[in-house]
Amino acid sequence: MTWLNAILQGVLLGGIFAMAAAGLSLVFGVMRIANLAHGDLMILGGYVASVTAAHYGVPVPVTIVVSMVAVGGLGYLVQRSMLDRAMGLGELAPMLVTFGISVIIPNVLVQLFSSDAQPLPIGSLGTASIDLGGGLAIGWFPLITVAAAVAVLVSLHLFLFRTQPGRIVRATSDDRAVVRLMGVDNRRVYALTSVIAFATVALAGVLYTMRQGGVTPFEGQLTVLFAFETVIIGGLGSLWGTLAGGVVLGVAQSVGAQISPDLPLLAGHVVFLLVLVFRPQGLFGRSVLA
Amino acid sequence: MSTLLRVDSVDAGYGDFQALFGIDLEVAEGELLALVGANGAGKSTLLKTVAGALKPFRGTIGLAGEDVTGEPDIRRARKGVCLVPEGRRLFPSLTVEENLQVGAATGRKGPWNLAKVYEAMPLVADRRTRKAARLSGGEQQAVAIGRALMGNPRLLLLDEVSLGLAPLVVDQLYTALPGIRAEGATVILVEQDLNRTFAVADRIACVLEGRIVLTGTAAGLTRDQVTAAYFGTGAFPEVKTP
Repeated sequence: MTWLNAILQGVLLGGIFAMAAAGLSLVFGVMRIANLAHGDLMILGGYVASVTAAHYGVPVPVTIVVSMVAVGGLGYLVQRSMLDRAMGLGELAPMLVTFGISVIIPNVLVQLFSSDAQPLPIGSLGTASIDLGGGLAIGWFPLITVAAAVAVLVSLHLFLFRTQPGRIVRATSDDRAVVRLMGVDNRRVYALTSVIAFATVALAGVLYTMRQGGVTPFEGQLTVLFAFETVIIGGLGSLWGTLAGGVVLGVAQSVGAQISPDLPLLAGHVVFLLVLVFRPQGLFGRSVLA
Repeated sequence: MSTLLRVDSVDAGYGDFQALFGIDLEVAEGELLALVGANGAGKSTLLKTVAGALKPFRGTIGLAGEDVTGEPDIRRARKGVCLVPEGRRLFPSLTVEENLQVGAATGRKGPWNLAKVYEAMPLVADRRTRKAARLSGGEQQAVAIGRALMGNPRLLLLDEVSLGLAPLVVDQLYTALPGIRAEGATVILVEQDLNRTFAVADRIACVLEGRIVLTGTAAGLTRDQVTAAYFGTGAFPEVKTP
C-alpha cells in the first residue's frame, strides 16, 4: 500500500512539472528557443506571490493572478526588447540571452531578499486531505495543483487548435516567413507566445512555492531541469505528452523517495536517461514532419 | 483601365548578388500578366519584390497609385498583395482547412471564404481534414492557391504553378483561373509552358538575366518572339553574349 501511495503522490506531483513544462514546450515549438531561464522564471513567479503576500498584504489566492500578470508582462518585454533581436542573429544567440536571464534572476533575488526562504503560507489547505481508506490519502492542495495543470493544458490545447489566433501560432511555428505573406506579424505571435509561456510558468511557480511552503533564489537550477526532463520524457510538440511526462517524472521521484530519502532526484534523472536512450522522441512524441 | 501595380526601375537581389536590373513594369486592374523566362532569370525574385518579401536595392513599387516600396510584406498582404510562393510552402502540421483559415489572416473583406474556395476547387474540398504534409503535389498547389484567395487578394501573384506537376493536374488548377479573375483579382503568374501562357494571359513579359526584354499583349506577340526572348537569341541589342 505504501507503494501505491508513492505512485499516487507522484502523479499529484507530476501536475506541477507538467504545468512548468508547458510553456517551455510552447516556446521551443514556436520559436525554436530552448529557454534556459524557464526554471528561474518559475521561481520568480513564486517570489512575486510571496513578496506581495508578505509585504503588501495581498490575499494569497490573489497573488496567483498578480504573479501571472507581472511575469507575463515581463515575458512581453523580454521578447520585444531582447529575444526578437537575438533571433535575427542566429540559432545560438537567443539561448545565450535566456542563459543570461537565468543568471540574473537568482542573483537579483539574493540581493533583494537574501537567500532565506520566502514563505507563502496557505494555512490548513496545505495539510487537508481526503482519506481514501487503507492508508491512502489525497491532499487537497496536490489535487488542486493537478486540476490546475490539466486546466492549463486543456485551455492551451483549445486555444491552439480551436481558435484563429491559435492556428496562426501553429502556422508561425511551421513557417515564420510564409505567415507574413498573409499579413501576420510573426513578432507579435512571438510576443503572445512568450506572454503565455511566462504566465503559465509563473502559475506553476506559485503553486510550487505553496507546496514547498516557501521559495529560495537558486531553486530554479533544479526546476529548469525538471521542466526539460518533463518535455523530453513526454515528447516535444504534444501537450498530452507533457502531462504524461510530468506524471512519469513525478512518480519516478516519489517512488525513488520511497526506496530511500536520497533517491528522488536520481530516480527522476535515471528515468529521463532511459527515455532518452530507448525512446528519444519521447512517450508521445510525433515524428517531426518536414 | 487604371494601373494597379507600377514597378519603376527596380534593382533587387540577395546580399551581394543582384538578380534584377532596372525593371519597369505596369499591370492594369483586372489584367493577367504572365512572366516568362528561364530558370534563374529573376521571375521569382520579381514576385517576391512585388510582395514585399524582398526589399529592392533601388527603384519604387506603387500599388494603386500609392508608393509601397518601404512597406514590408505584412502590410502589403493586408493591402491585398497575396503571393503563392515557389514550392507552395503550406503549413505542414496544419490541416487543409486550417491552412485556408490562416490565409484569411489578412483581414480583408471580399468574395472569398471557405465555401467559395471549396466550390472553386473541388480538389481541395475533398481533402479538408487532411494534414497538408500528406497531400500530393497537385493538391498542395491547389491549397496554396486557395490559401492566397482566402486573403481576398487584389493582386494575386502565382509563382511556378505547374512546377513538377502532371499536365492533367495542371489543367485542373487552371480551370479555377477564370473564376478567380471573375471575382476581380489582378493576376501575375509565372509559367514555363508557352501554350498555357498564350491561352490564359492578356499580356506577356519576358525576363532574361534580370531584365525585361520583351513585353506585349498575348495577341500581339508570336511564339517565335517569346522563344527568342526566353533563350536570349535573336535581335535583342541590350543582351550581350560573351
